[in-house]
Amino acid sequence: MGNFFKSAILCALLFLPINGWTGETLRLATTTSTYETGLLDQLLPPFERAHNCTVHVISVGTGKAMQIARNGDVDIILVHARRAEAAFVAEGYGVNRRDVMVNDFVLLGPADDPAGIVGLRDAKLALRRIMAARQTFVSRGDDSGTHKKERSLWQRAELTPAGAWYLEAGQGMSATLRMADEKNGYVMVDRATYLFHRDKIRLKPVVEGDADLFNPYGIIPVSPYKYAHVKYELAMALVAWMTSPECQRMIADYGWKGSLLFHPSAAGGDR
Amino acid sequence: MTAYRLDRVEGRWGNFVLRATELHLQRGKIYAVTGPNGCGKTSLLQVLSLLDRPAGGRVTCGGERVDYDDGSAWLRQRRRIAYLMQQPYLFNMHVYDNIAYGLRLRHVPPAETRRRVREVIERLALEPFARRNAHTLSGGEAQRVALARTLVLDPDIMLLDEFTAGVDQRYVEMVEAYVRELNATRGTTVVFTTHSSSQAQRMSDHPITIVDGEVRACDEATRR
Amino acid sequence: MDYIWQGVRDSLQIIAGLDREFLATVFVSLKVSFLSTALATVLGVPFGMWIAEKRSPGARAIITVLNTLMSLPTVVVGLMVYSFLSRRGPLGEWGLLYTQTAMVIGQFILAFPIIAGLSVSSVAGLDKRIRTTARSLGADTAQSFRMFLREARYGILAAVMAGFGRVFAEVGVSMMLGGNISGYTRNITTAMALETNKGEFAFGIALGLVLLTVALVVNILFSLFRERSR
Repeated sequence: MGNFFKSAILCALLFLPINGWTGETLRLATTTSTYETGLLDQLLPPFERAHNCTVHVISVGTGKAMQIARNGDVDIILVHARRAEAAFVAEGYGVNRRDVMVNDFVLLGPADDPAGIVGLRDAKLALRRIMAARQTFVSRGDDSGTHKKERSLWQRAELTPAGAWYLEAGQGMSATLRMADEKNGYVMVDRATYLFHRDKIRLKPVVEGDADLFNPYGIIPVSPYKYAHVKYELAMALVAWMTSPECQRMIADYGWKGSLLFHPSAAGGDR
Repeated sequence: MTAYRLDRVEGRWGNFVLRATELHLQRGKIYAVTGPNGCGKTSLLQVLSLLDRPAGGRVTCGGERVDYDDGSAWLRQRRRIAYLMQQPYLFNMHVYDNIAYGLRLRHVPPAETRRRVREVIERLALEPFARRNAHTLSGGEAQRVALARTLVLDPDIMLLDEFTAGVDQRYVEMVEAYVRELNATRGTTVVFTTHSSSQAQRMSDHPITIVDGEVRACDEATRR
Repeated sequence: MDYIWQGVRDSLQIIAGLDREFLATVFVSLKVSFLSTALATVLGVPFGMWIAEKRSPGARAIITVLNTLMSLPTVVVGLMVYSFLSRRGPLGEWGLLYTQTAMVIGQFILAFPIIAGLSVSSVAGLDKRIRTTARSLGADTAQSFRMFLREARYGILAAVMAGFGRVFAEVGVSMMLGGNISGYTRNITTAMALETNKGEFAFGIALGLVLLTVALVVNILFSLFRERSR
């Protein structure tokens, strides 16, 4: 039975670090795209050092991030879904929304482009042709910012995608992209994620540069009036940092394999 | 000098009732409990082992009244008794550790434990399987190990329930001789049950009979 | 096949290089799973032994429930605990969601039915004479119980290992309750899910190798333990 004692002591030792975390922690829920590109790994450490804190990043879809924030389980969110963000603020869950940066979406497709849309500058027209040709299209299907964006595009093209050709992945951006690549279908993906995966996939960009494909990111602290426990001061400090000239320059300079991913947009100020 | 005194003791096991109105067992003697199956031989040993508390009456062991409610006194008395149960169970460990178990419970120093265990292993010819796990033994081997586990304790009182059951014929004599030797040299009181009247006669001058649940010891006076 | 071989080769480099993030991930996995298994052992083994002794219909019903819960989907547990621990849930004030503690709670709920349920069957399979035999040789109540535990050790150890195996390899609870926070609640399985999504197969394979190694080591220790008593 001595072994039981030893393991009990071992367990007690293991428990210590759980409470031994130094400094405050700030919980940030964000989209898979910002996180998986490694951008936050660049932007957060200077902030953590300056405020002697740890930022816990929970990377999920925009919809999930906002749901978590509505439950009061995080202190701040960094998301991209303008209309949903406005509702989030209007319902009183978030305050002081600020623009942080913009990236854009790219429509990817098979190299032989069976829908015949390569080079189009009109995303709506491209979607119409994909649907008409009943070519495989992989949707996020997870209520994320990208998914909302994609659905609004279909809506504006006055189409209702349905059928065996329209696949809802229900997963993050990278997983969806990889699924589209495996299926050799069309997919709408943010540029950052695309560049990140460019060398590992067969799909090629077919449509890009349409204003409909721009993707603005906003940062929103959870309202302290809604949830007294949120670390509002620290969250506001993060907002200040993310919109500061220094951080904005880091965003502008952050590249991947020679391509820039994000354009800073904080100059726009409060919305 | 009495080993046991049972006064108006009554034990109940379901419908079965065992009574010992007046039973005196003397120190240093060997008692053989005989009688047909189901007459209560094992029940009697359970009472004598102090493990089963009788429903009524008074049990005195070693001149001391047994107080089943005084845990430490009861344990002290129990530890002067070694009890070999019918169809004994061997623990899932080495033969050696099985034999040493009771000594370790009694905090016998390791060196002495080793000496006594080796001695009993030798006396009961257990060497061929002394290094094996007890669960790998045959029935007869297991019975001898269980017996060794009891005899090694050097108790004041030894209770042996069918102690040669299943033991290979060529070892029965060896086992009986060792029990008799312990009785003669250490003054150990022995109470054993048996089906064999010849074994009862070989081993003992003091038969105990159980008739209709009533325990009777026939002492020398009545026999002669 | 080249593609897979390349992944395996890169993964070995990651393991050999003792990458910091890699080590942190492995450490989180071990720590959380050890804690939850230890907790489930401390509560589940006595509970299983206690219930095994009972003969009442109620006890039998509990055993049936335990056996059913053994195959509880991890996401169900995750969702259940999530709804309790979320700030909107009844235990929201504790602020436990997205912490290692939340992962331990979720994994505990996964491991408990396994450890308790398998303890029931390991104890039920034991010889009824163990405790009386110990007492007949002079053991007191505590000593006879210790002998009983000793006799049950393989069954109980197997139960604990099965519990550990389940929580160490599960991903649903860790993902939902831990949130996959790098360096804090990211464990081997959630990291593998993430890295596979990102297409970083080497990192995923490296973690998978650790997962396999731990399972192997645990099993080897178990059989060594068994061998020793032969």
